[in-house]
Amino acid sequence: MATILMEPPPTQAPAAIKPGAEEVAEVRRLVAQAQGGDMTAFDSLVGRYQDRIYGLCYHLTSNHEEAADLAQDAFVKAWQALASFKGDASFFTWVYRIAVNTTLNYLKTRRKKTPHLSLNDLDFNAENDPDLVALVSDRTPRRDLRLKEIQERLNAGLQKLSEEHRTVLVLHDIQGLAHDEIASLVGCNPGTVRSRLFYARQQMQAWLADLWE
Amino acid sequence: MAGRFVGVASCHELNMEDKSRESSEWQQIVRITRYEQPPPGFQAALRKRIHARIEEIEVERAKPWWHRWIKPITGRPALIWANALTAVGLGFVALSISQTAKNPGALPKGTVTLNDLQPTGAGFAASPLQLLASPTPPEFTVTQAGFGGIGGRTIPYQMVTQAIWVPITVSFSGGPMSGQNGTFESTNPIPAGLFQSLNQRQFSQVSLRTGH
Repeated sequence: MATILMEPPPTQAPAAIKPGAEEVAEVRRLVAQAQGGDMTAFDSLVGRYQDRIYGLCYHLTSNHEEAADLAQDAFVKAWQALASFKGDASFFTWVYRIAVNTTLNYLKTRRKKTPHLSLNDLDFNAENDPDLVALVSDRTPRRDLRLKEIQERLNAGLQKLSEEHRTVLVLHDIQGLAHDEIASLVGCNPGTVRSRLFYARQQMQAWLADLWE
Repeated sequence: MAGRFVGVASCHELNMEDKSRESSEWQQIVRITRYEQPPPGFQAALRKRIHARIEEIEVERAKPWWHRWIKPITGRPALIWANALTAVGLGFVALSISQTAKNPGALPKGTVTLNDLQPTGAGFAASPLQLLASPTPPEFTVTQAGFGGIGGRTIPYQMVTQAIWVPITVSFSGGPMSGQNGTFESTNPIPAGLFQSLNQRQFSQVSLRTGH
């Protein structure tokens, strides 16, 4: 089978959203207040980033309950380590890094167990997405069922990948991070990220080949 | 796709086309992740959970240190009993140590010769030195009036020979050979066998001095 080329992320990159100057200043103010012990300020920060942190944990585990626990752990760790946050990177990058490490550590402990998928429902807008509509076979009368099946196959495939390959694939293709950002997060060089991504896509493509044959 | 028969000239072109198409299809499949949504109300619930957990940690942090020690055993009777017994044992040991530490203070200061120590109770006809050297020595009563003015006080043998922390000087003289007189100082316990040794060498005068 032919290989998949390196492509820009298919989804809008959560981590790549560039906040405006006002947003940056507001986050800095909230972080400073939270560092002073203001729980309300920290709560606001949680509200700002919890979806993206949860999404990261969810796509790495393909399990809603585990992802919720991991997102909680990541924010609690962030609260406990808040005094050590110097503001060298953005607060989100810092929390994101904590969440990646927390999830990867968890996956190491989970390694011997068979991953249990606990998938979220698909938003009803999925049925109107032209790309997904194109993907779904016209011969299948019940489109929602077919989308659900694709979702399950995709997540099962992700969980079949090794942690290293899954992490790179999720961070790049789903979360939308750049190669050098991923390299910095997982502690390897961008070349390794590219090669892992290449291999991971090949694996996924092999497992999901029948979806587009 | 793989296995398709194509001419050599068009092979490269077709390969690129395949790659592009598969890349596009991969992106289509990955798009599905954009529509995976947690149950309604999940965001608020997660926020509450995080808030509650942090509050719990803060409350825990504000509690005294011993609470953290007690908490793990709460609700586990076996552990409670084990810890209670350990605590009682430790208390007993602490009490014993404090009593032992007090007792040396009760030892009279001054010098007392063995002849001043009279065995209490019947059946102790042997000399005090022999009694001291016996495996199960009795208690002695200090009879010397000048001994701190506490005549009649009972000094357990163990206290004299093994009392800790108080310096004791043992002086011996009057042995059969000249030049054998001397003293032995110890901060206790007095080495086992010292009195036996003195007894064997037949020193007629052996005295103990306690205190500084």
